[in-house]
Amino acid sequence: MRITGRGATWISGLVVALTLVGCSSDERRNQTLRDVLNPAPLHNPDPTFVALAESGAPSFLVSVENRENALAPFVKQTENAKGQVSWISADMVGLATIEGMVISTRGLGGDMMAADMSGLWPLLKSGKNGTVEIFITHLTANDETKISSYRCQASPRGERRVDLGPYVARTNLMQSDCLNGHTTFQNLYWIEHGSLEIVQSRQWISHYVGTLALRKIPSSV
Amino acid sequence: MHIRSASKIVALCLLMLPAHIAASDTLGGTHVSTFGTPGLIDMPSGFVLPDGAIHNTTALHDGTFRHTLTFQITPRLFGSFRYSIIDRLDGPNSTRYDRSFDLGYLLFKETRTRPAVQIGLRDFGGTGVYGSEYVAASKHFLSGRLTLTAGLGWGRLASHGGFKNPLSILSSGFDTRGEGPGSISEVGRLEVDQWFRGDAALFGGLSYQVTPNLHFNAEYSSDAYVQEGSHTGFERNTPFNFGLTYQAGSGTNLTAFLLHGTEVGIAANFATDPKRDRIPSGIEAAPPALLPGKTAEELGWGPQDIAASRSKLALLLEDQGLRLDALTLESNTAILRISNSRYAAEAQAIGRAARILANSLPKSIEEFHIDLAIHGMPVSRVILRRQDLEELEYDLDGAWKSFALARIVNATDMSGATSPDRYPQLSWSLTPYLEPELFDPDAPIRADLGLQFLASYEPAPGLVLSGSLRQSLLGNLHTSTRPSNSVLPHVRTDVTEYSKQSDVQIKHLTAEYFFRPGRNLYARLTTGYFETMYGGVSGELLWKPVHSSLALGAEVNYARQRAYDQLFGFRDYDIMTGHASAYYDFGGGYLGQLDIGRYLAGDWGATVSLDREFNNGFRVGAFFTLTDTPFSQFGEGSFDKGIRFSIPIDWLVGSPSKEAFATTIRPVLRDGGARLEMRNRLNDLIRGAHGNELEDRWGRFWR
Repeated sequence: MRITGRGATWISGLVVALTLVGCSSDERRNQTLRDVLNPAPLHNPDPTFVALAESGAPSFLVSVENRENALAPFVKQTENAKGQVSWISADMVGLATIEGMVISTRGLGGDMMAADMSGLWPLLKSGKNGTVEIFITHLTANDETKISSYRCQASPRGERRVDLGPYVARTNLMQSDCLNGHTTFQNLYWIEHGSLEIVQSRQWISHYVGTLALRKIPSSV
Repeated sequence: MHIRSASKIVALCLLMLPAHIAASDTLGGTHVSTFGTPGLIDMPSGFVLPDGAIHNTTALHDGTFRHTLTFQITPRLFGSFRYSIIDRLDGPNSTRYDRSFDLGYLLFKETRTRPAVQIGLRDFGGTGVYGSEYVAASKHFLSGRLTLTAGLGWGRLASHGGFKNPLSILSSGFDTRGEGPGSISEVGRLEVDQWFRGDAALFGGLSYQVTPNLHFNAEYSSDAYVQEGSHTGFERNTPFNFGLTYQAGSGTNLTAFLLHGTEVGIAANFATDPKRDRIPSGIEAAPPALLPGKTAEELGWGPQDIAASRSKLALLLEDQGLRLDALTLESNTAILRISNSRYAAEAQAIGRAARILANSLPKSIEEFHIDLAIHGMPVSRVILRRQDLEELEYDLDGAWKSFALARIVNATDMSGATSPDRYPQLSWSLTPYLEPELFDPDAPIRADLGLQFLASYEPAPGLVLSGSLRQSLLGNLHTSTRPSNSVLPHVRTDVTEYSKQSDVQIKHLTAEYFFRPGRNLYARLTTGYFETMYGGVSGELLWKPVHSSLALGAEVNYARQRAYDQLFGFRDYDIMTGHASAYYDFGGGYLGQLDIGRYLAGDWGATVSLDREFNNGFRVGAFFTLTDTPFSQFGEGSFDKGIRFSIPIDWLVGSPSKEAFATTIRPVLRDGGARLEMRNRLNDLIRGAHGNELEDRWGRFWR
């Protein structure tokens, strides 16, 4: 499965027909043709992903809600001193999270380049109502970065059970309703009792990508 | 930014394709007239388009077809190129193929109390069939649902209801309007003695938003359609025109209109915003995430084990579409030279190379010097610190901070450290091609479709042997029957013979050598078959400091005209030609160029060019050339001029590519003011790796 999946449109088909169709000594050019014309399925997952998956690295199942069949596992790649964790999929889409909150995407188109969610996590963890400001940086089509601020209202929606396969996690469901002058979105976080880990979430990325749904894959699977 | 032209494609038509990516908030707000410029139906309005917008408008009514391309050059200035086909305008069984230019300038922006006011020239420098000037004012009412327009027109826009020119109070010279071009050979000159002269007339109208997607337009027209009425049977019963415009999608408007009570017509308008593309940040694979720093022992190699690090790095860089040209390690510094064949934004290549270095080299190496090389020629060096990379990888303002902390300097020679695996390098491709000729005097579009084989061999740094072969499979480029009537040497006007008399075509076959003769200097030597019509020997020298907005260059060529079969032979005509050039980056994406020298026909003169390039590489420009060839000898058009486009492939499809669709549109191709079409001219080749362009696209450093 591929997370980037999208069909060829007539525009990309025309452009490909005029520029990329054919054969070349450049394997990347041939790959671009295949990507545009036939984005799924993926037969050759990235070796880094395979190695990490085989080593039992933590993983998440991620889907792009507004793309059909855009569902893929992501494995943990590394964690830095700031607690920022990077994840990759088999088709080399990248995510970064901190405390389970997405702070970066790479390869989805309309990527979130960075985010500052530092004000939100204490509220989610506490399970209490509150209002905080978060910041998201997007890359525009004109290769400029644009930082937007959002005012978010966090609120508890009660206890929920989340079936993770090997076990059913007891969680608190927290909702954050965020808005600024142009954009409104709602994120949901299922936070496991005890570990205070986000085991499932719906998180908005950008206007182009929309919302990602993430669910933890327990290590025993 | 370096954009390599893939092939001559109908870029104009492609501009129409991505209309769906235009946003209604930026493009849908300004109505355009059947002339493709801001207006009502036939009459102009006081507005201009959003900055950078490109509008393609096709309008059709009985016997008249107009296609207009309008570009909002600056926030206040727009320019248009129009191709019109008018049946019977010059008599029975005749068809006029007319090319014309417009300019409009916003004098005043709309405020709460004041209307927007625009002044404009319609069809200047053409045959003058639509020749007119105007000043128009427009104001929104009823929360924007109603727009009222009033204006004063001259020329054709004063052919109904004309009165004494109010500008006559300034000078009696405004009383009389010039006659315009007397023959086809006089077409193309600026008829300044016509501008705002002769009678003036009032026009006006309204636009009312009936529903969110439907507008009703009505206007009082000061255009009497005199010439059409005399020859084409156009009936004009009333000065009033009416129209309904439906916004069919974001950036797409469809209009049905009734002209002067008799003529029904339709128009379609497609808007494109170059600052918005289909996939904003691209869908290429994620870059390597920064891993925690490791010691040499943890990485499994000795700190001076250059050979091992080189081969590992080469593989990792190759995976990112980058070639390792050279590598040296010094105490705490790694110096890497790469060639980027994948990313249009060199900053993206730098960002990926930097993360590979940080992940692959011992953490004792704290500073990375990354040289960008083009055709083996080092162009610039970006110096980054490992610590800054680690600090800023997910920083909210990481792009700007990393640019501020980077140092961009002149690249130095690293020939002693060249990777042994780098050369020789062979690359090839077999692809379709489409070669258009747009808007020639007899047909709006001619084109050939066929197969193209390209090959390039680099035996050593800076040396490139390359060629391209084409075989046309179908098309009509060879069908032009217009013989050259040029009194100058036929340096371009025999172009059709090259299509008629060729089968397999060698489009170019050259040996090029690129090198750095000194600090801030770049050089190119080329010999072989440069282009379809010329071969020979060429040399170019460019001076451009890494952070300079100014570049100065000189090019000298011995050129000989190729045989019509486009194989190995030559014709008798040869010439020494060349130019001294100045390039200036005005900022904000505006690029100016001045070329002074000797042209292919032996005429001496200068070419002035102005382009607007968006950060993402989308480029629109215009140029004109004046030489010592008298207008009367030049022929139709009077002097060489045109507009040009370059549309990056990655803008269209979202996948990384350094290629672009590029084409130039001339109202007419003549022999005066003609230059060689030389591949790899130095300024365009290197400037993407210099300070200004790196800064413009640094947003992609972390992508």
